Amino acid sequence: MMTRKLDVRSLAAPEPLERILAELDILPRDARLEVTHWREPLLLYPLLDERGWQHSTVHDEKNGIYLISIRRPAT
Amino acid sequence: MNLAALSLENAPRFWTPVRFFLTVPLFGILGAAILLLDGGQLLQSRWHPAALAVTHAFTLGYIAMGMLGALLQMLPVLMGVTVPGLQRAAACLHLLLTAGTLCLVSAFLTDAAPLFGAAVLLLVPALILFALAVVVAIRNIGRTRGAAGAAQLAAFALLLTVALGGYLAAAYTFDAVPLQRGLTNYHAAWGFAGWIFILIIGVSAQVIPMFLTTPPYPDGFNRRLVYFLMLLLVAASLLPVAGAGRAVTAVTALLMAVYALVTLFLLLRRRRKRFDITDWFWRLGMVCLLAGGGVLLFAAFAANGPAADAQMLAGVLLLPGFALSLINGMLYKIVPFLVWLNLRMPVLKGQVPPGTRIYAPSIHEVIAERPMQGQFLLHACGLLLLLLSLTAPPLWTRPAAVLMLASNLLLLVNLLQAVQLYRIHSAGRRAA
Repeated sequence: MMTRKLDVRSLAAPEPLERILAELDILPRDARLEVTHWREPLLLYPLLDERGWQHSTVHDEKNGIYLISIRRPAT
Repeated sequence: MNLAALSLENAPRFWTPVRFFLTVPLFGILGAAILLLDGGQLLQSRWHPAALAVTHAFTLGYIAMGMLGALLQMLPVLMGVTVPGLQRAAACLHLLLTAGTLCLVSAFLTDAAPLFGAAVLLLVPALILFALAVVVAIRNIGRTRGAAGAAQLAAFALLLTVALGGYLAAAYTFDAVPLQRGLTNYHAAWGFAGWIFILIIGVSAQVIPMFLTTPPYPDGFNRRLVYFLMLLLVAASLLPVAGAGRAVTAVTALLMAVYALVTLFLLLRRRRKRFDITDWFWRLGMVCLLAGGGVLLFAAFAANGPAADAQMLAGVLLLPGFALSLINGMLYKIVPFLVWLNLRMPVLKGQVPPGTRIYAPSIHEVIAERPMQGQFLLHACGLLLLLLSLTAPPLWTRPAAVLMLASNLLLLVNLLQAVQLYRIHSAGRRAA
């Protein structure tokens, strides 16, 4: 599966949410989006759930970042 | 973490916090107007009736008004606290706080006992009930770390501040209640170091990295600072040891300096270098906190106790300099964010009916940049002249008051610009 990376650490709220959703709109069907964020995007999760996107988050404590992996639901 | 509770379904309606935010500059205008009419006499002593009137216009009408509005938004959305009947309770709280503060300010200016009585009746039950509701609601969700924990401790400090203030106001009202001026220091300490400073420390850990793209505060820094401050306040209030108050003041002043330096360091390391007016308000606030802490430290070790002018200097640096600057700066983030949230989120969630003409602004379009910069200049120059007024009152006080008045008028106009944008586009959607 192809992975597209998006680093939103330098963006101020609410730009990370807007950028992630914009990126998902053009994400190829067989790709997944890996987002690097400095905090957990709590406002994003309900929007992803409503749209049926699958997502998981890993906290990299050593580097102080969150890695959020998002992909379309299996059909 | 309870993610369901963090859903935006729990967010209060737009007007719930915004009515508090729009009232903030009105009390800034009132405080500046009193300073203008007084012409500088009030800067001679913290016990001057007009000084007490301006202090309470700022602490209740400006600072508490802004902080309660922010808490009403943050408690459900960021902290997962659900409060039944929040909209109606918030409307009542806003009305009581506004009317009560006006009564208290008028009472100090006119020395009218019935007005002190009215202020107690309007303010004390409302603020104590609010503070208790926050303490209990946060305890019920079981999250006592981070911003929620700081909000809980700040609410506890608000409880004590209001109880002490209520007693002092009752002493002005009823001859049977003895006026114990010594309690004023505890009232001020719990109000500033407890309620205002602890909440700012807790909330800044979330909002500064989020809105200003700074690196996060060092792990556990804000939590430890909050607990340490609380411990100091309790110790100063309960320990009947001579000199304890002086030692606690000195340590508190050091903690202020540490917090200010760490925050300034983070602000200098913002990941995005785009000009941001909130950044400048926070930098100004932190410089004032650093200076205010220095003055307190100096005064704590003065041979004959703190001099009256040092107390006034610390007061100007910590209230208009630190607290007003921070709240002013945060209003320029929170209000545009709320406009964005309430116009954009229904679109993202697919809740807008088909065929509706949609306009959902970017957060940077909500308030024009130039007027915000102009307002910052007015605020900073007004503050500088107010500090100069402490050395030569007749010369600088009225120009300082005029600048503060103009600054708050422009703040009101800028916030109304954001609200007008929301009204136009939300009305357009309702009509569709």
